[in-house]
Amino acid sequence: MKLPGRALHRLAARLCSERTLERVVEPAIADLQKECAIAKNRMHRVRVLVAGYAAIVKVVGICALRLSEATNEDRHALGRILVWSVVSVVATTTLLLVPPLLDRSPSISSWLAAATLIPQAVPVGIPIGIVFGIALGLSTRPNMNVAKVTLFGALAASALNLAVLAWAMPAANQAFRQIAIDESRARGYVGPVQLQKGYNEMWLSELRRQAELLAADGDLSLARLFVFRFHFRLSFAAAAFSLVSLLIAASVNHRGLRFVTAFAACCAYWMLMYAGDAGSRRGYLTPPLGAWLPNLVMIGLAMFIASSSSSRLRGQRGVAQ
Amino acid sequence: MDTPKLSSTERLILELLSGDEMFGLQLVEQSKGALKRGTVYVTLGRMQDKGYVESWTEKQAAGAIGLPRRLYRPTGYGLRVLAAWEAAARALARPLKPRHA
Repeated sequence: MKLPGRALHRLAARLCSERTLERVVEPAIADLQKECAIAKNRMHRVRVLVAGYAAIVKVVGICALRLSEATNEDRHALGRILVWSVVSVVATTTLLLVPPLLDRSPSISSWLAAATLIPQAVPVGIPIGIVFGIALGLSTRPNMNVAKVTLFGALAASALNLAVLAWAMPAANQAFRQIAIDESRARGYVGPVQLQKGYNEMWLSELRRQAELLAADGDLSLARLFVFRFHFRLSFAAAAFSLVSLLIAASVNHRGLRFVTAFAACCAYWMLMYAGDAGSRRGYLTPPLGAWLPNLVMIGLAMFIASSSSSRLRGQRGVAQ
Repeated sequence: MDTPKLSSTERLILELLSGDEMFGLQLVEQSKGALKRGTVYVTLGRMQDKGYVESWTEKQAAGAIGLPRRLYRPTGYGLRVLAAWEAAARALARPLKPRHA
């Protein structure tokens, strides 16, 4: 029988110190292995594995992020950021769903149709929600612990966004089109319908194949190839936004001003998205550069804020000395 | 010397361990939901750093596979901190007598 927890042990060995590995991670893995060895039946073993792995992942996460060193104040700040982020994501997603729902004629399947629109709105809602979550959730300047965990959370949100863009959105879009056709047929349309997948309905592998086919045919339509990179660009937006927001929060202590800055950052990102798109179409920018322009500008902005903050601090220290 | 700090979770662990040495999972089971298996070892590791508990790995039978489990017991210092905490809690719980009866 294969021993459970070995992969997590290897991961923990990379992320945690030897002392933490020995004292905190290995006992949790040992518990899982012992419990599995004495499991009464298959169902019991599955339950043990799920509970054990969840515990080990939590232990590794706590140790890797050094959360055990976080103070109660840090935990409250992180809790507030999480709550505000969730509220902002839900609010933004709902707002984005309103226009297409208002456009549609009422029908029996409108709830189902609305549900299929959610994966389109979520990838936009997540980065916006995180920016406002950080701006509104922090009451003071964030310290290193808070910044580290927030960035880790933003990276996790980016991974979730990629999953939504790569799998949930194409499936939901295709389902939405099918619902629209079914509704048309219910209203009496009898003509032929060919439901071919568009770029927004394709999986990543299909998009890659499509891009290769277009390139092989000599059709280097930048706009078409652009769609493929759009998925990665938007999924990284949450991480880029959180980096900028944290640095702004470290410089600006006024919540209202942070809200305005967050709003400005969102507007700037979307303007850059369209500028990158247009630049690629007209041949001013290569497709990868056009697609990544907003993220690159955000990271550049973050580096600028970080360097100006550190030089300001150096200046203050110099005055103090 | 800094005053030793004892959180409610640490107090519970010391109370449970004052009876007998235990594995982490046994502590989780005996706490009836107060301790979680995802955080018990983090707390035990911190308590070890503070000197409240000591630990060692179990002796495994020949041919046994897997990692050895870790056993925990309170140190003399840990028990003294717990006793001091309990005494303080009892003193604070006593009703106040009016100064000028």
